[in-house]
Amino acid sequence: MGRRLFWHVTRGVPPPRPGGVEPAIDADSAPWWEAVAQHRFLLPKCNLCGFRLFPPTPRCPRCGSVSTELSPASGSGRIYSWVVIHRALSVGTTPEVPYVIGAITLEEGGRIFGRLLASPADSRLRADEPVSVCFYTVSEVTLVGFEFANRPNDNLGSL
Amino acid sequence: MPSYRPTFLGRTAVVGVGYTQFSRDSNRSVLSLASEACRAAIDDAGLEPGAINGMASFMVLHDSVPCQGVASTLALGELTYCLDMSLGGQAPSFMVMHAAMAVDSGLADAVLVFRALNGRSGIRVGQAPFPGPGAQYRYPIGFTAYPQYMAMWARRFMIETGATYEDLGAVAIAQRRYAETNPRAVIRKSLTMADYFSEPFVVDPFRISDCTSEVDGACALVITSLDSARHLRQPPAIIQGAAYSLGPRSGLDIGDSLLWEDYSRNYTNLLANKLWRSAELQPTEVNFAEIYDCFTSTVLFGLEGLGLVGRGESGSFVRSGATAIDGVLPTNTNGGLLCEGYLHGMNTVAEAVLQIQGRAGDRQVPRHNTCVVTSGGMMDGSAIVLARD
Repeated sequence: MGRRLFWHVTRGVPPPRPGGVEPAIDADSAPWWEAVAQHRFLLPKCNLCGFRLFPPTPRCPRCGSVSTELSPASGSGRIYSWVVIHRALSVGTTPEVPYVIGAITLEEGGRIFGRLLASPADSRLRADEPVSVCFYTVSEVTLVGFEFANRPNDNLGSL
Repeated sequence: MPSYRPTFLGRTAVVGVGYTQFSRDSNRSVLSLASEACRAAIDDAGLEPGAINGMASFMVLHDSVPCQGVASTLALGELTYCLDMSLGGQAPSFMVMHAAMAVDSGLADAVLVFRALNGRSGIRVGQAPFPGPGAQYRYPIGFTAYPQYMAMWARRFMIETGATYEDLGAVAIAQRRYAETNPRAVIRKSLTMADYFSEPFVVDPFRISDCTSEVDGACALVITSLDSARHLRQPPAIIQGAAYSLGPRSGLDIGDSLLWEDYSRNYTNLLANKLWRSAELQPTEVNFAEIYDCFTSTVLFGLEGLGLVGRGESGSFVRSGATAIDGVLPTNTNGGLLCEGYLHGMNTVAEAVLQIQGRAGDRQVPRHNTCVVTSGGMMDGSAIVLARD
């Protein structure tokens, strides 16, 4: 658990700055955030239609069933889209610019936003690049982020 | 749906337009701005204030005044229709639809629609947080502002369609040309591609010129029946087509798109068929377009989503000069929200009305029989087709 808190030391990118907004956790999302605090990545699952979805909602957005539950997910996904934020546009403090936010399509289904804990100049920052979940902490709040799953230049194959 | 022909179409018209000056610091109350634009629209129509018996307005982030405040300040009489909606840029065309429905159903005779805000000196929508159940999945990670959400969609559009930074820049450049002849525009300086690429990113892929300009100001319209319109001061801008769409799995609140399936397609893709069917037109038949442009990307989305060009063709279309005043489809003829200023798209509709009416002066498009107007950028929005009488 301690290893993940200091990811920035080994990866040479600025650490997340403390501050930012505490998540406005509600009754629908509390169990998911509790799992995140324990470094467990769960995804809702609909027991009726099997849809894996994010975020947790009172009913399945695909079939409307109330029978949904959280279950473990691999944390693997691919980059669906991303932005590089160069100017902080917010009420509170944010990570040091520039930083990357990804929209990640998860392996089981569903999409989540997460900070991509890597340099904006990384050559792996492209559509469909595999990523995997990691956890990091800002002001004692544990958050879900993503790291690249492959090493740099893995796409060169047998070169 | 097998048929789509809302009954108010062809029977109502926009008859008056009013604006305040747009600025970065009005030094006035929103109520004062709203009242000025509304009175200007009433006068423009050739009506007396007492003739107005319906109102509609919208705001997001509690940045405006309710209709009752403006009605009281303008010394209007009783209203038999009044609608205050909590919405952003999705609203303007939809507000016109509501006004038209109210008039055509007999609830009111003349409906005033307005948007007013101190959007630069007061609450700035480009930085303000949007509350709602989806906020917790954005703000803590530093994904905090509307331009960033739009940029995420713009990137996916670039991935799927091959659109480039040059395509985004071309939209900004084309609209600056129009702004040069629009005294109301807050940004009028011409832009070259070299200028564009020398700008820093705000949120990659957006540079400064990709983003709308927040302003203080107000804009208003008056809608009546077509029969009444023909006796008033200005040529009627007939509401010939209309559609609204909130797509499936649109998310938990105005800032949330986690459940949305395809970030490269927005509400325009969903409402296009109904819009054109309702107007009994092919997309190629409109003479000009006013496409909601909180950011350059939404113009590309809208051109493709509405079927004005094919998938992946919007960038080359803009770069070819097709959206210029002498092109096949003049687009955003006031310089758009990008240059005239961000009245949440109310001024997008107002510009369309002026052009249909032949009152756009130096920037009047030569062919102005019909046009399409859109409102909104992402999961939900509205659109109307206006026609000359």
